[in-house]
Amino acid sequence: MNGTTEYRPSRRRLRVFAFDPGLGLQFETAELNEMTLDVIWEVDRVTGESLLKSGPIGDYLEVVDCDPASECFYPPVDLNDPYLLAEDGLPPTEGNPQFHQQMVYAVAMKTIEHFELALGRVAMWAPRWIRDRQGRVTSEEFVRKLRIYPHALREANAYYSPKKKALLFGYFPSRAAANQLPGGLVFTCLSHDVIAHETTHALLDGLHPRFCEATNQDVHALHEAFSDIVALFQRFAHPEILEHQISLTRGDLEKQNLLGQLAQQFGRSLGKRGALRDAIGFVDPEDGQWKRHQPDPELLGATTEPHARGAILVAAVFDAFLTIYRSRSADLFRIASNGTGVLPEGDIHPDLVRRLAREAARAAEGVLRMCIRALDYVPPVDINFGDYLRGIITADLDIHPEDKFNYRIAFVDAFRKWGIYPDGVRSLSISSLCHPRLDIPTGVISSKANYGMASNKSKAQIRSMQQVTSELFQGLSQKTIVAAKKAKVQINKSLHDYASDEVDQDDYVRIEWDLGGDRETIWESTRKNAKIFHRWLTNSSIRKMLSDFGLTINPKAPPSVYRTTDGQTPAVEIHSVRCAQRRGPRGEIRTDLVVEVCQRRRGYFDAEKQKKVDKSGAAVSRRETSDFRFRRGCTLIIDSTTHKIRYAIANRGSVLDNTELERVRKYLTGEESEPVNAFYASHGSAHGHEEHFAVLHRR
Amino acid sequence: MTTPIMTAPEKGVKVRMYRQGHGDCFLLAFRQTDGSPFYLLIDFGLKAGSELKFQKGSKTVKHDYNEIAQHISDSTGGHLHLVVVTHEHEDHVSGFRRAGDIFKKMKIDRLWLAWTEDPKNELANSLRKKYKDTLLGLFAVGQQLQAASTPEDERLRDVIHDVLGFETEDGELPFGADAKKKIKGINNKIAIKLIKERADKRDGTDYLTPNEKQPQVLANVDGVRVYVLGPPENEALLKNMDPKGNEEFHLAATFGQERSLFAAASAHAARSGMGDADKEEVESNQPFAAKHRIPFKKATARKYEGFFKRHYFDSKSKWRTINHDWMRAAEQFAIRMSSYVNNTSLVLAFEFADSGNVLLFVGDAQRGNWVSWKNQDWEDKDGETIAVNDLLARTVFYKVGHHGSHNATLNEGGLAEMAKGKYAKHFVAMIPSHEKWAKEKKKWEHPLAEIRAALYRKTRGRLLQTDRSRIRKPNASTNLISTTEWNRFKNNVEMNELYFELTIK
Repeated sequence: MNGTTEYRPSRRRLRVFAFDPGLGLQFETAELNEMTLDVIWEVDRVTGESLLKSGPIGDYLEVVDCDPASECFYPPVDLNDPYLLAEDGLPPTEGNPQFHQQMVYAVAMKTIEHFELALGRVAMWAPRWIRDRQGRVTSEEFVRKLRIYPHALREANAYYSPKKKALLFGYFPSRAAANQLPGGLVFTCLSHDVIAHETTHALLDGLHPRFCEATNQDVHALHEAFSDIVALFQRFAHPEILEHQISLTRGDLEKQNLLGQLAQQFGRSLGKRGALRDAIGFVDPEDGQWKRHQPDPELLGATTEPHARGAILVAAVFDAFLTIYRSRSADLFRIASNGTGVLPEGDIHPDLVRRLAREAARAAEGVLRMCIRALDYVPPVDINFGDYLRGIITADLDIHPEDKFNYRIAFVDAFRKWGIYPDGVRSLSISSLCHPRLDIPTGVISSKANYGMASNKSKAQIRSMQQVTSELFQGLSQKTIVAAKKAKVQINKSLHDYASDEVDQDDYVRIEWDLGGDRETIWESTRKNAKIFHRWLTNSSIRKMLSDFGLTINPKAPPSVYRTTDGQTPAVEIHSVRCAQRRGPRGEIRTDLVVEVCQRRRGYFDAEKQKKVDKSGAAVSRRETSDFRFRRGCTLIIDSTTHKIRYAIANRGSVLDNTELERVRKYLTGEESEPVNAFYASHGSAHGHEEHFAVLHRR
Repeated sequence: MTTPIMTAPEKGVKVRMYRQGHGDCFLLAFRQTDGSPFYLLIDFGLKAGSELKFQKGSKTVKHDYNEIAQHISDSTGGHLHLVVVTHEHEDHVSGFRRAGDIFKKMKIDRLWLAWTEDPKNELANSLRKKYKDTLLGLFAVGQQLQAASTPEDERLRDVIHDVLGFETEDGELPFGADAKKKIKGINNKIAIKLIKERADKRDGTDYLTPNEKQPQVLANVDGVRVYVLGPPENEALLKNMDPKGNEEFHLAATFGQERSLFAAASAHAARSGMGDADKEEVESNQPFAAKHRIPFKKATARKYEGFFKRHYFDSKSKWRTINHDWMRAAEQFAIRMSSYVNNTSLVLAFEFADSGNVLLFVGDAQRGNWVSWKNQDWEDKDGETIAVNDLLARTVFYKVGHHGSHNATLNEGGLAEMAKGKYAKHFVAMIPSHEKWAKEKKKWEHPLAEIRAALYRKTRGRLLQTDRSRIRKPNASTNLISTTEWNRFKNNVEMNELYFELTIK
């Protein structure tokens, strides 16, 4: 489409169901049935042409509407059709599959956008791991587009498939329920919440692929909880919903309202009394009355099912939000009630509604960003709720040292009330929860002190190591990553002197992370950067500090620890080198490098076998497989301007830690969890299952 | 070597658990008023391939169906006074069919089945209809997966196979053009039918229900009363068991999700020339009107500008296609079906008037069945009330449900209430399980370690399991059992390769 003007829109407006089609059937909520989302207008940066094709297929998503159970396809919608452009897309309806395609596209794009804004970089999907027959990963492939199948399944389920990098949505006949036609079809792809939830699973997988490996009972639960958090708080960006609900509850969001409820229609269609999940309260089965959740610090310990554990985390985050909202809106209530705090009977003034809605939106935005940003401040594997809380606090303190509205305290307080504590902190104060700030000057440590310590090494070698460090970071600061709108930024040319066979001589550290970059180029550059960082980490004098980061390169490590090709040194793997840009408190743009380092060790379900392998002292062949992999890792946060390692966030214990290994073994063999069904071994159910989200969501 | 006749003790009963493999087979001998034994057989089945193997000299041998059936026939003089089939799963009934020729020669006086098999019971009929529909749907899914190409598909096919517990002569599921006809002839049903035909020639078949206020009796046996604890016959209860997890009686739901899933499966089967599909049913389950649909075959037509060719049928997209993913939902239905059938288990408590002892046979009853017992009581001839907890408290023998799996032995309202007071001194449990086979071949925890441990404590070590040939007195340091008590138990047990036999006086 070549317009006659040079004007190009920046946003595309698309109509969607505000929640799901069920809302339009209830009188009180009928006016909330529809809304219009604006998503980015995807363009080719060179030609300026719209990138969005029929499907819709854009740069991030491809909707392919295949319904194998019905043995048919549904024709792809063309959102560039002038008739559709004129009216913000197709009108919401259950009867036209093309509207379904439009809605999944719009909601998924909106979710991606929230994610990118909070993290300050473009979103990536998890790469496709190509495996050999033994299941070992032999190579990885960039996945540009997440695939979406809006009508893939005939069941009350929708899931993200890590194997196919696809979202699969189901549809199913409803059970008789209050506002449902019995037997009428319910489409999960028309639920705003379900789409946002599943898209978030995919985004989180792109960021932390190892969070699909359940090595403790929180890993899957965190995946679920985080996806719910994004789905819930995304809603607050829509004033029409917010104002309606604030007016209905007279500004008291602790009353029953739609903002805390997930998947209304879905829940009712399965014969429940209300939404699938509710972060604020629940319908008491005894008397059918809605009641506010009461925080119970004992509950978490007694709960094992991932969704149920996840719901506790969501409730804690929502409580934190409500505290913040209360504190931000207290003055408005005082003004409106002449200082009594008690509002007069009847509806509240529309101006007050708008002002309260604005406070709620701001609080929600803050909470959502804190929750997303925390993902850069957690260990790369084996995460638990405590790690996540520490991540939230550390990230927020790092970015906003001043905490004007006491967000951090609200979080800690809510988590404490729900019994979510990190291991090994002395108290629940902000300072003890926050990871210690290290400020290790990477470029400088390679100077005199180390020179003396490593006297048995040739001076030339040491000098070369020093050079790796200093030049790497020199390069980073010179070509600051910040304004890399240009195609490629080359950094640190001289590094090629140290490039091994693995790294082509023409490769440099390339950093082009901002929200305008091409995602495949960025992906390629992160892979190359990982190699260079790997050399830096293992060859420069920084390696002396590895044990402080929970890593080891001690050749005496047990034989079950994976080694490098020399068969001696424990292998250190760089899983990710990414960049996070954010605006600091004084409006300055800060760029950090987030480097994830991991190590692994062969784990055996049989503890005796483990001992045998480790005692034998004989090297284990690289090809040798095991029952599971025991992974430990560390996330390094490096300031790109000062070259200092600000934080090193490691798992408890390194790969050498037998206690942790034993804990993971016990978890995987089911000694610590209840088996799901008589017909399955406990570790035959969701752990290690290729489509574990499918299994999780089916329960 | 001729098999000796199984005798009945003067007082009490002998309970013999055959050791064929992963499945149930219990032969009981009571004493009739004329002094001759009354033989009762409870179930005879085996999971295919789970035969227990024994070392005989240098050879490994296993006991086949015919050998065991012959042994039963020889031990009873070819006369079973009563056969009880708890529920229609392979591991409880397959022997009746496999060794049909031997059973056909035997005299079988009477058959007891649960009310759920009663052709005159309306609730049973409506449940069976839903069961049959679901089964047909699962057949259709399984049929689609016959040409399984991915490990996931193969796994699903095996799950359907395992969980439903079908086996046929050729080892294939009864899919194909006449699945509907074959459904009547599923082997488990053939097995029951065979015994029923024998019994109907003599005293007939009784369908037992826990609603009966008077306990049952055994013909010509004095002082033994039989209480029916389950399955619950109450539609409201069936629908609202408030189950945990997967134990719900899902088939009782009015609008099952499976309806649309299975409509699709049968349409697929019909297309491949297998069976027929109700066209209206198939069409009414289509999510969109015909004008919106592009049939698979036409998807590559010009009209669509190669969209599907480029984005679905291209070689680069192959790893992301979703052709069979929708069928995976069938797995849950298969498991629910299996739980449902387990829950239809006939649960019987045999009470001895003189000693007060009670023997509890629960079939494979799962949680739903167990929790329904608690509201039951019976009246004896004198109008005295007998409550379920009273029976449990006097239990001295427990046939462990479902190979000792996690949800087939309830603690609260179950094991915890059993064997109180003096009865604790005699409490014995038997687990019919081939643990190693279950764990290695099927990844089933049968028995679950925690349940086994709880049973071990409760029985003070008097726990017999099909595949464990030896029993040992619990270590003295555990203080579980006194030497006198243990020796008394040991003297009452006979153990050999073919069976364990316990005399309860």
